[in-house]
Amino acid sequence: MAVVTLQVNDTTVAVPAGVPLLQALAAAGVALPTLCHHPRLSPVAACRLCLVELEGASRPLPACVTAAAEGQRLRTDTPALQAGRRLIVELLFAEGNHPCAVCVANGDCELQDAARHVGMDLVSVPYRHPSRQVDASHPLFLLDHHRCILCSRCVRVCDEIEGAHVWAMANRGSATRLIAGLDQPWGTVDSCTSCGKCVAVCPTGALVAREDVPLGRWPTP
Amino acid sequence: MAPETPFPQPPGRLIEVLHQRQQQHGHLSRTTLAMVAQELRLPPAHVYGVASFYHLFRLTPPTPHRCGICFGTACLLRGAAALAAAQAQRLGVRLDDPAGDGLWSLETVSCLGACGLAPVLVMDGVPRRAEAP
Ligand code: SF4
Ligand code: FES
Repeated sequence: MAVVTLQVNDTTVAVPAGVPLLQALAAAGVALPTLCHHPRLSPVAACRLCLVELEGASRPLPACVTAAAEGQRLRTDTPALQAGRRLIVELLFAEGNHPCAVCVANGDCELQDAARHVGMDLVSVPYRHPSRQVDASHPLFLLDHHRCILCSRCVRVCDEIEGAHVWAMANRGSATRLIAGLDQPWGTVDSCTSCGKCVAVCPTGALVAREDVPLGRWPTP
Repeated sequence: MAPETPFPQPPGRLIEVLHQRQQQHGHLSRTTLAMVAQELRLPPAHVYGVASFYHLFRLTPPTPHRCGICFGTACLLRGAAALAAAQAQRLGVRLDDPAGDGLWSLETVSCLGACGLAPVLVMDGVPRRAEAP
């Protein structure tokens, strides 16, 4: 495969032509938070946390879906990008309900990592405090909608790798939410194979294994 | 590389079929959606996702009578919001609550292309000019 050379924040790196720019960032030792991206799943470029500035481009581009090409010069750390990235993380925290102190994923959460990365010390937008549910109908796993950031990793892993097609996004705008089957309790969806792949790829504590939850907190169905 | 499409394409008939079924039954029940999924060999979750995304699809039975207020640009400029509030009070229902009072419901609709009549009010499917309060 042809190799291209490009510049990431003044570091020159070489990567195969056409790979996502994220790979060039990795080669340059630059880490950006990536919440919707997963290396084994199709890209959706939904979270916009990986936006970079490409010289000559009229707008910032998501590194997870932009192809590497010869001679590109990109920046990942301009004040505009930093401010935008931080605002996105703040909006994610304000959109759902994220009491980290009582979350199974506390300390092992990609949303927390993103907050740490952007140096979030307070959320400058008003919290929505939405009214959401917990789905405890599955014998092995739990879905806590409060902590779901709608990244759709679970939807894609179930569609593309397990082939069970359990998940989808329903509604639109601020009412968007994750559904199982025909918007039914997860435990009643026949096609679920209980493989746990959705739990494995969930960046937050929205999808968790019962065995990881302190004993007795949730009744078993 | 990751696969390009999650399930065999094209699911292009889905929206058309949903329209058909809604016309037949007045709304799209779970049973209808499950049948559509089976017929088109699509995941039920995907069918529900599509049906719930579009405002034109109703997932609950409609009330016998329905009043729509156009919230398109022209109608908004000519007082559609005030009209909606007045109408909600008059009918005693909440705006965009599909259950209404069991007999009437009041909903906002997007531009109907009848901007010359703005603000437009739709009574049981018939658009007409309304007086902004
Ligand atoms: S449950 Fe987890 S993986 Fe699924 S959309 Fe929500 S945050 Fe993403
Ligand atoms: S990781 Fe690129 S947009 Fe989410």
